[in-house]
Amino acid sequence: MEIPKVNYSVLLGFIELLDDAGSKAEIASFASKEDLNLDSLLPILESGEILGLIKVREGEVFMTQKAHFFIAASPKVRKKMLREIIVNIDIFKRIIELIKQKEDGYITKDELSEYFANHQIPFTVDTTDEYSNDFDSLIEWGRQGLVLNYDANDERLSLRQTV
Amino acid sequence: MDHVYVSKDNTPTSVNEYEGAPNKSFDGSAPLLELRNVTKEYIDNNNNCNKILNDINLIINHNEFISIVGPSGCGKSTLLRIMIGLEKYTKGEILFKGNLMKTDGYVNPYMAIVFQSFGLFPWLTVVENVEFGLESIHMAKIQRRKKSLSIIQDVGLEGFEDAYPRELSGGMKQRVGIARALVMDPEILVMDEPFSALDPLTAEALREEILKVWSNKLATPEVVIMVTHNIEEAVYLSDRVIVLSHRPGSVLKEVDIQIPRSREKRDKSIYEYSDYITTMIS
Ligand SMILES: Nc1ncnc2c1ncn2[C@@H]1O[C@H](COP(=O)(O)OP(=O)(O)OP(=O)(O)O)[C@@H](O)[C@H]1O
Ligand SMILES: [Mg+2]
Repeated sequence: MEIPKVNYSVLLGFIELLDDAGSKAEIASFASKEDLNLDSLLPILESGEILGLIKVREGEVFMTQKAHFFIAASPKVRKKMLREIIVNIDIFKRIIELIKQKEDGYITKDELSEYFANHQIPFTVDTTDEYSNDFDSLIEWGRQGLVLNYDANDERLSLRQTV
Repeated sequence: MDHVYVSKDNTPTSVNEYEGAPNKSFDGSAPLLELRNVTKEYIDNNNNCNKILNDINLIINHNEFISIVGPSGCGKSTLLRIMIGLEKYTKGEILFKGNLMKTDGYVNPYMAIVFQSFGLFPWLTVVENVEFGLESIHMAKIQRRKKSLSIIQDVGLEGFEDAYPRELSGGMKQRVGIARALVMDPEILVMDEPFSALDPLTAEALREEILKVWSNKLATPEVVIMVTHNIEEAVYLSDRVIVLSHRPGSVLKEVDIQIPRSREKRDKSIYEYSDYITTMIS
């Protein structure tokens, strides 16, 4: 199941640059002009596509309409848009359902990785690199989209109350 | 380069004319911040006197975005710390809105600082880190929380209120650093290489956010003073770039960046200004 891999600020910076370049660019030349190596660019492109903020086609990358709205929006509206995006991504849908089924309103990190293992869904929880494991990415975007709360002391995920 | 405007003389004329009287801007009000002949020396272990800053004269007006650039070790950080009152100086005077600032460890309450290394308390959550500075201010606990949460929203930290610094990416950490400064309602936000510990894309994102914070005329701060090594960053963001000389730092030039906002990062004139300033420093 797809999870955006790069963190929010990196993706936002990429979209800001793309916007400045005229909202679309030829990937290889854009990368060399902005001094981005292709290895680090790939997860950015993937993450942007999962979130529906960019599109990649035939060696070119485009900003979507949503991305245009997003970078012009206030912080408050950005969060609203992110929430809308996140709750509609499959893995988040699953986790929201899982937590809803729990009586105490939370699921632990261990329970979550056990769930994925039982369903034969690849899901990494431990690596040393920042945001390179699925669990950290999940928490990053769950928080960014005001969907998930995570208590690092108890290792518990819960749903953020909507306002 | 005909469009590069460099002020002929950074010495405020009124200092020479009327010793001690505050400078007046066009509308008759005093500049927001003024440094007159600020010099900093220290005595090292061998009893030698070392000069770090030499006769700095600066006038910071209202609604400006200022960058300070200069060679490594020329005293940029020291200058920022002196401006805000975190460090003593040997000679000269500093005026805030025309009032002489005390020099005995008096930190200007209308200024707040953001550091390169974030400077967060690892044992406090995001909201607790932001709130921390407010504890010295007479304000009800519930008010402090309310204010912190509102700033947290402004800088895009919503959702991370209860996270610990170790859980955050560099970009989110520096957002906390910025929020912690903004919660003090500073009229001048001072930043010491705020983006240089971040990867280039994150830095890109945060530059845009700082511009938004500064250009929001309804909220503080109205002035940003930023130290940076990145000349293009200085030109892109600033109304005026102050170029310091090698140590002991003195003002080499003040370069007005006359590119209308909002600017484009790929604007040719940004490169021209950058080349001009880079040549001056090297
Ligand atoms: N009280 C002091 N005792 C000893 N050395 C000092 C003192 N204050 C400053 N210095 C030295 O003065 C120099 C200037 O310091 P400062 O950090 O302000 O420069 P900078 O321009 O910010 O440098 P950088 O570009 O590396 O950030 C440094 O070499 C520093 O070690
Ligand atoms: Mg420094």
